[in-house]
Amino acid sequence: AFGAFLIARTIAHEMEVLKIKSDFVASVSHEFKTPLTSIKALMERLVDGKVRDTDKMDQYFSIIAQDTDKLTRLVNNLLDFSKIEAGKKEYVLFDTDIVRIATEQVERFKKEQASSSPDMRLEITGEIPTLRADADALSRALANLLSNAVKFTPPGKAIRVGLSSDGENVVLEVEDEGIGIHPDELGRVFEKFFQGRNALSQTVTGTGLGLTLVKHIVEAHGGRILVESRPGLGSKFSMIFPLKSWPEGS
Amino acid sequence: MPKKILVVEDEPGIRLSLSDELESAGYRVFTAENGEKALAAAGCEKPDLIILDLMLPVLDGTEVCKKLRMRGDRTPIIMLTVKDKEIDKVLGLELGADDYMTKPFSLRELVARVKAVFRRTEERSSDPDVISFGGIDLDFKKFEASKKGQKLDLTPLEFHMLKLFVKRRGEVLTRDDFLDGIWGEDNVAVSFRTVDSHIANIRKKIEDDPSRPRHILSIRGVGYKFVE
Repeated sequence: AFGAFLIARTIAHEMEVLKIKSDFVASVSHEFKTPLTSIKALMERLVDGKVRDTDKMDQYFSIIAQDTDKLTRLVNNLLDFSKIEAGKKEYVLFDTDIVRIATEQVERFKKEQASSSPDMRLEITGEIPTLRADADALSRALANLLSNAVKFTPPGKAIRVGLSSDGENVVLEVEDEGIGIHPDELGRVFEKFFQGRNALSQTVTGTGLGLTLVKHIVEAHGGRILVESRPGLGSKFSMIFPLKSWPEGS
Repeated sequence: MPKKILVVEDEPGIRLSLSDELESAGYRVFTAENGEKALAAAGCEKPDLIILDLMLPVLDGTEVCKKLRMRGDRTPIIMLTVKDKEIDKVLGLELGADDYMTKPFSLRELVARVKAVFRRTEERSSDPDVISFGGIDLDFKKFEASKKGQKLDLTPLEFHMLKLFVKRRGEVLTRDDFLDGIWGEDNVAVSFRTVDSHIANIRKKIEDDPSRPRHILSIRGVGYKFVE
């Protein structure tokens, strides 16, 4: 009987793993299909010669470029995740201007969003020292947090990106006035494949990898990530990076 | 007077290219980027057709469709979906949409689907509105049905199929007749199995004994026939 129990438990575990894999593939497929549909539709009209006005043409090319960026971010997230799972993810450290990274990411997101989307602003408090970090990884981490904030914040509400330093740490935070996170999910948001829910308890699109990657990036830089949230009022994710040097190759 | 279409899609590129393409085809287009704005626009602009993405922020396409039907709005809806397995659900078993497109799609194909939906809508407007048979009352304009005085819960798709039966009563309808008449000649993904499934559901609702139907008869090797 104990043997039968162990077999049943193994089978149940295997089925759960298969379901997680299947759901993950479906999510990734969905994440690819939407920007691909956008690119396909815009290109169809351009190739057919239906877009003559130069301003309109600029608008088309701009959106195609943004969609291509979205696909690139998705592919990079998947590749990073794959390397992390294989224990092969490495970060290359240089003296990094985190002000530039934050400014670039906020500008990029503001450009991508429609005029009625959440209002996004960058607040820099005091002098921000140079951080020894992997600039590309930091950009990726911030992009993932901003992407989530936009996804869960209705139009008309605000998203604040805060950058400050107390001499020992640099703190980069993303605070939104979105739907917030259910208290029973707060402890799980950094789990791989975990996906949040919107105000109607419907699962929101996404691969469930973004926050997992953010946490890995922050911790690989010797830092920590904190999350605070109030359902219906918003969430704040704080990435805290220590300024003191730490071993290369981590 | 050009027909009015409401495009509900949060992806800027799809929303822009789709509205430009539909305007080029002679339609008047309004857009909304989320479910809440879609409901407001549908009430305000009174479109002749709604193209509605399933996955929308804040209030998704499923909820928009349900809320529209609940408030008596029968505007034809074409849903934009990503997942093939949602097709049956989208097409009326639960939601009451009239047609669908899966992403990625071609704009030309979508415009053809829009024209097919408008064609079907115009054909329906010249058909009988009310019919009674065997204790069953169907009002195709109000989308109301009852059996021996008790309300029947038919989906919009089931109403459309029954209307086709009634219009061609006594004739044998093949599964292709349903695919062309309900889903349009350009449909490529709805199968014979889907047609059979819907007819089985209709029988469960209107027949006294679905296993021995008196009104929707199976004609072996050909299709189905409606008798009053």
